[in-house]
Amino acid sequence: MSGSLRLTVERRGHCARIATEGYINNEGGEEVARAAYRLLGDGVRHLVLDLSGTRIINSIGISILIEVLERLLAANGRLVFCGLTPTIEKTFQIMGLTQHAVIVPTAETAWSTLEANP
Amino acid sequence: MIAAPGLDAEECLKLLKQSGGSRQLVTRIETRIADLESGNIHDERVRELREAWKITRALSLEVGRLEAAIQRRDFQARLRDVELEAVYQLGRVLAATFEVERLMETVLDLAVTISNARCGALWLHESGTWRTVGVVGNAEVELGTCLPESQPLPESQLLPGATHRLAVPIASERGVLGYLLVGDQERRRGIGPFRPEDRRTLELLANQAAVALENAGLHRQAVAQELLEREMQLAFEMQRRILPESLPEVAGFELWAWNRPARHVSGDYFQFFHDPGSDCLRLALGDVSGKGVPAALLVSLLHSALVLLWDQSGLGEELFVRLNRHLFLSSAESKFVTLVLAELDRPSGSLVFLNAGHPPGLLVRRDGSMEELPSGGLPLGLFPSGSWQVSSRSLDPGDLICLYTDGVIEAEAPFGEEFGVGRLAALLLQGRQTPLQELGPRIASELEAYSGGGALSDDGTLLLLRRQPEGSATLSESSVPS
Repeated sequence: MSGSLRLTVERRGHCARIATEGYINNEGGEEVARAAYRLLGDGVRHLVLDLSGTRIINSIGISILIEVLERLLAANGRLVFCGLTPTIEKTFQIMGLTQHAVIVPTAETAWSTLEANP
Repeated sequence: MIAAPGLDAEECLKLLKQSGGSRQLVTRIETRIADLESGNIHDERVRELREAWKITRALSLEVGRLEAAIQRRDFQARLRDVELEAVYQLGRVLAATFEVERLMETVLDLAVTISNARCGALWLHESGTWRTVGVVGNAEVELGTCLPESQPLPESQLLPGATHRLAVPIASERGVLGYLLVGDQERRRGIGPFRPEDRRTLELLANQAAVALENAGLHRQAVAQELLEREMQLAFEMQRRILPESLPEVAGFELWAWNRPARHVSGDYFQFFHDPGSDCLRLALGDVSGKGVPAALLVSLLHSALVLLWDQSGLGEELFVRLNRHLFLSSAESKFVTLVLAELDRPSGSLVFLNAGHPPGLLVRRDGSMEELPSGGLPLGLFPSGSWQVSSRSLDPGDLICLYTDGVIEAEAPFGEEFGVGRLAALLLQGRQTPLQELGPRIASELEAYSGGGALSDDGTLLLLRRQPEGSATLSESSVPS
């Protein structure tokens, strides 16, 4: 696993998907946040965070994702996670992220979730 | 609480309850105070109201600070839960798999995430070298990197990309099996060194990794042992089907055979080919190089070739040429067979034979004279070609032929001396007129007693063939003792 987190961004109208590949630590988390805030500033309201390429995330990465979630909620937006490993999903449950964000298995399910409830 | 014009006590209380230190609320309070001041109302009541709002602002900021502290504590408490869950999951993974790579990946992932490290690496010691089996983050070392055992192992080489490192050994009773390293603990602003509790956490994970490695090793050994036992059983079954269980009855001749494998599966081969009523008896005795399953497989190869080629070629040099070529091409390098084949013409007692590198047989005449049968010729399968000579002897009534494998004459006494051809010859000479049903077991028991009653160091086979004195009944051991 290389040091830098790689991101892929896909946009569909007011929704966008950020797919991560690599370790979400401080640096990686900041990259995700920058990409998310850029999208929000560009009119995106709802986000899919696709972590299928990520195996591990540390507490700082989690705290940054929480901030992204809070910013989205403040803008009346929604966040959907997909592609989580069982370990990361359990971690998110313990950290309370699942109280305000939805977790689905795949990116396609995530898009469907957002399109079903615009 | 003093109410101001346009602002009653209920609104003040509501604002206080709502106070969470949010900038928005504090700004509203500041605005309210500014409004009061800009209205140029400076009487005592306004002054008191302004003071009240300042207190409200202070209280709201304090509540906000307390709420932030509670959130941080809640966050930390949840992180502790995450760590406990991670250690629990590690235990489940350890119990579920023996795949070393997956186990070490899990250990390293946990070490990095729990310690908030920017990078990490896990090295294992295998076959005299150190190798990375796990790399996370910007460790500046590739997965699969090897370092020779003799080389000193500074942490800077094990985790080059880090400024602050924490390394713990993965150790068992056998010694150090590997190293678990993490580098550069992350803070929200930058990196820093690790704390004592991080070392304790890593040591916990390293202990788990050591247990996993030991278990994986034991599992591998158990699987290999089981596989070997299955292969041995299979080879034993194959061999059981090939080697004769009973001896043919040949009018006018006695026959006796004995086979003792040194291990579960023998590398000796012997066979009789005789059609009932036929005047021809074919004997084969061979010794395959090696032991165990590979030897048994070569025996199988030899037997099938012999069955096919002996009929086609008859007994002669051509048979050995074809057998040799077949074994040379079909068997592994450095595998070979020593072999003696003989054909007996029952009415005349004529014995024709060829020997390919096998110990020479013994011919004991009725009058007590003895000779070693001609031998020579290369073992089969060692070289692509060779030459072998046909020999013959005529067996008169009472004459005895003994063929054997080197496991018989090389059987060692506890004090180290071999049984030798001399002892075998003496027993044959002494019992040349004893029925083979007695002589054979006597020789076998002497051999076993000589070797201390334990297993022979090599497979041993003995074949005895005697032309009966005229007027004797046909006597053969009905089954092959072992």
